[in-house]
Amino acid sequence: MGASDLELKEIENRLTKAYDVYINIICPMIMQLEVLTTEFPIPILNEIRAFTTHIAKIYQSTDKVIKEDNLLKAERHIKRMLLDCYKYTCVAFDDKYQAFQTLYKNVDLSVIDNGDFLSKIVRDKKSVVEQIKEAKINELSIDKDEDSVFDSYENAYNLYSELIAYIEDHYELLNKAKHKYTTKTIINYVFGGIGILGTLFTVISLVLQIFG
Amino acid sequence: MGNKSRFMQKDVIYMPTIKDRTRKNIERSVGLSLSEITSLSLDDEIKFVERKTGKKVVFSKEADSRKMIRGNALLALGRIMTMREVDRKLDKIK
Repeated sequence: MGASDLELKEIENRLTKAYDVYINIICPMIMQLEVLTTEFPIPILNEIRAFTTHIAKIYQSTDKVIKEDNLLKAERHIKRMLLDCYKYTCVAFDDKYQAFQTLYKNVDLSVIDNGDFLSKIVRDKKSVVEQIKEAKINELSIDKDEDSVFDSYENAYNLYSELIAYIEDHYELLNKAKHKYTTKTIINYVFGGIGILGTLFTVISLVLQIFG
Repeated sequence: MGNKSRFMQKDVIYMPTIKDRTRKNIERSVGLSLSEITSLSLDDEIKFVERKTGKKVVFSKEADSRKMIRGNALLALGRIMTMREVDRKLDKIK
């Protein structure tokens, strides 16, 4: 059952391809997650641990069948990692989007770009939600191949990434709109207060006139 | 191969690639080109993230049901012990 030199070469070629994906795709996506959340992405690190264990078993065993079995498992973990990166990043983008909504709650966003900003983010968020739903359906469907699962999650990732970038590009205008809203709210409170005081004085003076 | 997925073949797993659009989105989000990212050492990578965000990168102890962890219940519950904590506990051993 010993592995021949040719088989070892084949295993190493396939491992090189897996490591290429790890270095050129997974690592940058992990770094992106760290930038977005300032947290180490534990679920992905857990997959890396599983991947490393299979690699170790490939080198530790002299049995061809065990080597091949672990190679397949290692490759599957690399693919799983990428899929998890897409999902995890969508969650991180969603946290950012929720924070944006909380920060600009009650602010009239239709004043930005003549209403184009608001209509675009509403439209794009809807596309993101639809794309995530489609990706989940593809993942659960037995008819769909892995290509379409990766494709749909990658599309969801790209749509959300671009929506967040669009919002970030408008922070200056968003802050102006918020400042305008705050000023307007303060003025409303001041005039509201003056109005209440005026009414109180009128009532008091009327009471004094009647009973005084 | 027809309509049947090439990924479904039992003994061959094709490694995924990413679209150019995805690469650009990662680069914009991180603020470095892909080749710059891949050339960083792990220490430099963490230093870069901390400089960019102004925060320390940590292991979250909060369990988040949206982030599924396969095969490890303790990790899923956020039961993480960092080496800093291990060192602190080690110091207390008398």
